[in-house]
Amino acid sequence: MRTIFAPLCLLVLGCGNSVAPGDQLVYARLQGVINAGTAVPTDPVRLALVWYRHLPGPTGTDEGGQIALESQDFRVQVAFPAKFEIDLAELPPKEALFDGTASASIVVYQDSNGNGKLDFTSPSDSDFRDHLLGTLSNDTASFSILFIDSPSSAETNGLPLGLSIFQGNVESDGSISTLSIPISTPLTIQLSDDPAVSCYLVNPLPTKVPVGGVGLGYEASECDGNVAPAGSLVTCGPYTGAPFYQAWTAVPTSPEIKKLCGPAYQVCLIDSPAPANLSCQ
Amino acid sequence: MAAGAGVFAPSTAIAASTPRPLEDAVAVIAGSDLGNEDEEPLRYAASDARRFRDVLVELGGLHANRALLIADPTPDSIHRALAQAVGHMAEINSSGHRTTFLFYFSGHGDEETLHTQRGGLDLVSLRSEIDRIPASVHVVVLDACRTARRQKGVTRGPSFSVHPDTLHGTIELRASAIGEAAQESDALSGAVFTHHLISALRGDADIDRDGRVTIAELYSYTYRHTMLDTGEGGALQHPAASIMLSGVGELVLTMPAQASAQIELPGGAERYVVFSLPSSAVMAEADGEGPRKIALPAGRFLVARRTRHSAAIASVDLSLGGRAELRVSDFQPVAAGEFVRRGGRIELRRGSIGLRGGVEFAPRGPEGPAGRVGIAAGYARGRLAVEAELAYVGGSEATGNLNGSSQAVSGVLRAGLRAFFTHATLTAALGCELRYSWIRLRSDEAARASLAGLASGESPAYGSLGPRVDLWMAIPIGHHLSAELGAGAALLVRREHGDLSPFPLLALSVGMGYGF
Repeated sequence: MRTIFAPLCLLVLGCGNSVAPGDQLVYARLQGVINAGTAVPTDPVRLALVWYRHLPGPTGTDEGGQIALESQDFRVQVAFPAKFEIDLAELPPKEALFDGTASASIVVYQDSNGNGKLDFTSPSDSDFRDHLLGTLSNDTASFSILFIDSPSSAETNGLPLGLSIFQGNVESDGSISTLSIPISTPLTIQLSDDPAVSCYLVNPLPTKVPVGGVGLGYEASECDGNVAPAGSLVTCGPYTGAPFYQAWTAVPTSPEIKKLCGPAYQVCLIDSPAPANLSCQ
Repeated sequence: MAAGAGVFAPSTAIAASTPRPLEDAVAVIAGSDLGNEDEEPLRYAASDARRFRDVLVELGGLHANRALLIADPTPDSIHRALAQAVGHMAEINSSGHRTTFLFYFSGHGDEETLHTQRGGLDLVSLRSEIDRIPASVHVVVLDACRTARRQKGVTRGPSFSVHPDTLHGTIELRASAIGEAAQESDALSGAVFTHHLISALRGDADIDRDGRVTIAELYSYTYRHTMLDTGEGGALQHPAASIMLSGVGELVLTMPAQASAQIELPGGAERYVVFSLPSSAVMAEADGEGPRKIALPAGRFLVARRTRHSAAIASVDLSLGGRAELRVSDFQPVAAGEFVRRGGRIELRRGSIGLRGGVEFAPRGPEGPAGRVGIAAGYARGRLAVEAELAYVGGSEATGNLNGSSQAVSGVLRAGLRAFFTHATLTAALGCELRYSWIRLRSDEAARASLAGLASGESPAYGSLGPRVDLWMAIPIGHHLSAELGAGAALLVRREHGDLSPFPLLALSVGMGYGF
C-alpha cells in the first residue's frame, strides 16, 4: 500500500502550483540597486513608482496638459546598498496616458509625514510633505519607465509596445541620445542629500528656466482660445518650420519652495498663426 | 425480489363502516422499568406499555385521549389515572353502549403487589378500585412476575346497572403463573408475554380469519406462544387468565382487518417476524399453518422468515398504507447467524448509488463559493459503510488583480460508521480526497494588457489531496430511494509558490440515493 500511496502523493502534489490568496498578475518586474551616495538615511526609506499624469486640456479632452504625478508605493528599505524589486501588477492609470503612452520614474523618499505613501508638495507649501532622496536620473543619464498600448504610437516613435525602459544619455557634446532597453534591465538609484531633489515632488513641477525651451518632464496644453492668459509671460522658441509660442503663468509659490526649486509655472501653447498683438519675451 | 410486491388495497372503506371494538373504552396503561431497590431495572417495560397502547388505539379504535399512558408510574399516579378513568367512563356510559375498561401494567411485581419506583401497589385494593370503575367489562393485563406468595382473592366492588344481555364481567390476564418470573427478551426488544400479546392483537391470533381478535383468541395465542418461547430458554412461563364474563356476545379487542396497513404472509410452518424500519423495532410475530395477516400502522417494514436452519428477509413499503401480499419468492435468503445477530437491522440492500449536489466553501483560499455535483457508490454492512465518490467542482476565484473561474474533478474514498434512528440513518465517515484543479484567471485590465502585448491572465493547474470527514443523514423516501443531507470538511494539501500549503474546505450537500 505504501509503495502505491507515496508515489501517488508525490505525483499529485508535484503537479503544478495553485493560486494563493493575494496573488496577482505581474506584468513586469523592475529591479535594481539603491546606493547611499551622499545621503545615508538612518530611517527607513520607501520606494515609489511615479507616473506622470496628464490633466484634461481646455477642451475637456486629454490633449496633454499640466504634468502631475501619481505614485504606486512599494517596499521599505533600511540598509544600503539595497537591491529592490518592484512587481508591476497595475498598469498606469488612464490619466497617465497621452497618445497611448505613459512614462514613470522610480523614486526613493523619506516618508516625512509618516502616512505610508508618497505625498506631493504644492508650490504654496512652506516645506516638502515628503523628502525625495533619489530618482532614476543622474548627471549623465536619465531613465524612465515607458508604457505604450498604442501600436501607432509605438511605430511612430520607434519604441516597443508594452513596458520598457527609456534611457536618455547626455553626450560629451551636450547632445542627448535616447534608446529603449528591456524592462528587466537592472537600474541604479543614487541617493543624494541635496534638498533640491525634492523639487521633483512639487506639483505642478517648477522650472527655473521659463525661457529657452521645454523643461524637464512636462507637457503643455493649448492655451484656451489660443490666447495667452492674462499676466502670462509669452516665450517664442525656435522650432523647425514654424514659430513656437508658450505662455507661462506663474503659480503662487512659497518663498521656501521658490528658493530651492525656483518659480512654478503653468504653461500653455499658442498655435501659429499667433494673435496679432502677441509679443515674445 | 418483490419486496413490497403483491396486492395493495386501501382498507379505509372497511374502517368507515364498522364500529371499532374499543370506541367506548377507557384504558390506563403503565410501564415501569424500575421496581424495588433490590430488583434489577427492566429494559422494555415502559416501551412495552407504549406499544400496547399504540396497538389498542390503532387497531381497537381506542380514543387516544382515553388511553392514559403513565411512564415511570407511582402508586399515586396510577390512582390518579384510575380516578380520571372514572370520569371518562361516566361520560361514555351516557351513550348506553357496552363499555370496556382496560388496565395494563408492565414491570416488576409479585403475587400481591405491583412494584413501582415509589413503592408497591397492592393488587387487592387495585382490583377493588378497578371494579368500581363503571364499565361493562374490565380487562386487566399484568405483565409482571408472580413470586410465590399467598394468593389473595379479589374483593368485588359495588355493582352497577348494565343491560341484562350486555356482556359484562372481569378478565385478568397475567404474564406468568404463581412462582414464575415474567421474562424479557433482547431479541424481541420487549417482554415475551407483551410481545405475543401485541402480535396477537395485530392479527396473528385471528384463528377464524374474521378480521377480529377476541379475548379468547388473544389468551389462547398468548398462552401458547409465551410458553413455547420461554420453554426454549429453559425457564418456562405460563400465562394465566381469570375470566368471569356473562351476557351475550364476544369481547373483541382489535379489528386488524381495519388496519391502515396490512401484510399477508405466506402459509407454512415458518415463523415470521415483522420489524419496523428504520428503527428495527419488533412489530409483530406470526407463525402457524395457513396465510397470516398482520395489521400494522403505515410505514416501512422488514419481514424475516425463519426456519430452524435458515432465514430470509423481504422488505415492504406501506408508507401510504394499503395491503401487501408477500409470496415465498419475495424473500431473499440471508445467513441465519447474521439474522440472529442483527435482527431487524439486517441489510436488505447493501449497495447504493447516489447523486449529490451542493456548495463548497474555501475559508482560506481565493476560491469563492463553488458548486459541487457528484455521483457516489457505496456498500454498507451493519454499522460500517464504505463509499467512493466522483465529483465536479466549479466556481469563481478572485485574488489580487485577477478573477475568473476555478474547476476541479474530485475523487473521494471514505469509510464510516452508521447510527440508526427512527426515521433516518446518520453516517460519519473519514476518507481521503484527491482532486485535480484548473483555473482560468484574467486580470482586471486584461484588455489594456493585451493591447500592450502583456500577459492578460493565468491558467494554473494543480493537484491536491488530503483527509476529509463527512456527516450525512439518509432519510428513506420509498422502497429504494432515500434523500440525503450532508456536511463535510476537508483539509487538502497543495502547492503554493512551490511550498506545500493546507487548503481547508467546507461543504454542504443534498442528494438522492438508490439502494440495491
